[in-house]
Amino acid sequence: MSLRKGFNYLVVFALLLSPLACLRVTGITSQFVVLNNKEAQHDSATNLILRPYKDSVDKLMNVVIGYTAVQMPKESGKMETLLGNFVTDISLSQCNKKYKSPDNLPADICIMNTGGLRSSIPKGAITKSNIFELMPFDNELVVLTLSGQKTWELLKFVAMTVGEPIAGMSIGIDSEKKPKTSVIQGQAFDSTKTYKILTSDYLASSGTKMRFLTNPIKYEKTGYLIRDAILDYFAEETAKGNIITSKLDGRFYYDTK
Amino acid sequence: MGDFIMTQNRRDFIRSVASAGSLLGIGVLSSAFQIEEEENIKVVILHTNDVHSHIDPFPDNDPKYPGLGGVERRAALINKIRATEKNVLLLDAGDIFQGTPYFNMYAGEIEMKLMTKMGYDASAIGNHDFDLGIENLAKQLQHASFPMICANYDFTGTAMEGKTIPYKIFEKGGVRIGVFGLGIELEGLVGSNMYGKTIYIDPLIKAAEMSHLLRKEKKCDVVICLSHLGYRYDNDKVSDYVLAKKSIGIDIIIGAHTHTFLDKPTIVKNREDKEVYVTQVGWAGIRLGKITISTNKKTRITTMDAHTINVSNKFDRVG
Repeated sequence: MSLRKGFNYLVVFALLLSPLACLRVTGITSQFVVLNNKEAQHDSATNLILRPYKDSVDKLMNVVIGYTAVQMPKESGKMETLLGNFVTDISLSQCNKKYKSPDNLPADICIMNTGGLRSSIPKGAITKSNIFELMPFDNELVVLTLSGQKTWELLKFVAMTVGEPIAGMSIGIDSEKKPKTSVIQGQAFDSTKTYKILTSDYLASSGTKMRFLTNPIKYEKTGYLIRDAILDYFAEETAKGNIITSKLDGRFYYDTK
Repeated sequence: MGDFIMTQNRRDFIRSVASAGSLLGIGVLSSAFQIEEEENIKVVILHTNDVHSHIDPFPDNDPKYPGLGGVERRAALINKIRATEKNVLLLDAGDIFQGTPYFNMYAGEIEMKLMTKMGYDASAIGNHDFDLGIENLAKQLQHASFPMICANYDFTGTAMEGKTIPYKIFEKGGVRIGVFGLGIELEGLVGSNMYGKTIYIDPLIKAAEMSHLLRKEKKCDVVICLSHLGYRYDNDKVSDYVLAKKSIGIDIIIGAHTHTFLDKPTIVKNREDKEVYVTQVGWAGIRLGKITISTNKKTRITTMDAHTINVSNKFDRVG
């Protein structure tokens, strides 16, 4: 008798042997309740515990650091998102500005993952807390030098998975989700060249999805957290009197000509 | 005989056993709906998952969840339900930690304290609960008076050794409810320096072991799996859906990880063609799941049915 079949017999046997007094489930019903503002319900016991923590968190985090012209919702399953473009674009520009590589070459491409962007950026006043909720992890930016062949793997991955946030490049994919036209830093992809990829230490080491990131030619730690890059960008733009924005620019498209 | 019964669905099987009982003069009712109210024991299961340190409500300008969630409001709602329901079980399916400055600043302490105050009965362990390392998770348990339940992580030689239990049985109004926990594979998801020597064991094997133990040996009336495996994947990765299909003896899988908003549970037929309720309430404490289980005191086996209750409630109801 197979294990599976044996198991079935055991369960049936157990049911048949159930004593009369044994309780039986007669019905299961379920419902969900949305917790929202309309119901300004308070719970004093919870509030009592929370209050001192909340006061400290609010003091440090409920601080406006800048303003946005558009909302950037956390979205998945789209080729390009305002949030993905924003985070990868500014990570690339901030890192290239703040981190000087020993070879003096800037990073070419930035790649991150949709799942790693944890919350939306609202329109209007942005607090430090908003940025911590977007990027709660202490993930560090790392620069990986990849061979042309591994960079091709990256392009194939981006084309196939559709929608992981990218910057510094554009990619046209065919109907079978294969890369067709790839431009990196304004030049057509060249498999004989090496490329410098900016990503998070988390993605560089996870090794499951983005396998091409493992065993790079060179691995540079920058000591710069993704969250700090975003916070710095807000501080710098706000100091210049700029409102922060993001746009879709067709960096990811179907090329079915 | 066994094979014959297995080819039928749960309801037919139940009916056949019920009519056999009638022939024997035991007087089994054929429908649950004929049973008087007082003969049923009602147990309410309340559940959350992936709250991710979302203690305050989302701000009013949040693009997706403006003004939703908030632990104080959740506590008020739970208390309101407890005021009218005698038998309540409050469960969480993991990823308590990581997502707001509360976790960056206090490492999970306040999450544990608030869940304790709300009277959580048990929680599963999520991958993000390891985010500040396994030592931190072990340390924060001092602020929790509820157990973390996990049957498929072997914590031998880690800071979590001896600090979790594989299952717990709750007696609510005479109904025995067995709850066991399952965690997701950590490799590739969490830095190995964070989970250390933790060994991940195949959840399908552990689930079979646990459901057999709870049903057969511990005589539980209801078996619930608190799972952090994720709802369903487009590849063959093990998920709540896969588990439900391959399971025997599990009634409800309360899921997490994929942040899936299910308006009502997905009903999946298991290996014996019996119904398993797979449920998950999104994330961030935006929703509270409520499952009502009615158990008959006198009759042997009757029907098992699901529907969404349109209860008038001051909180918005979904589904």
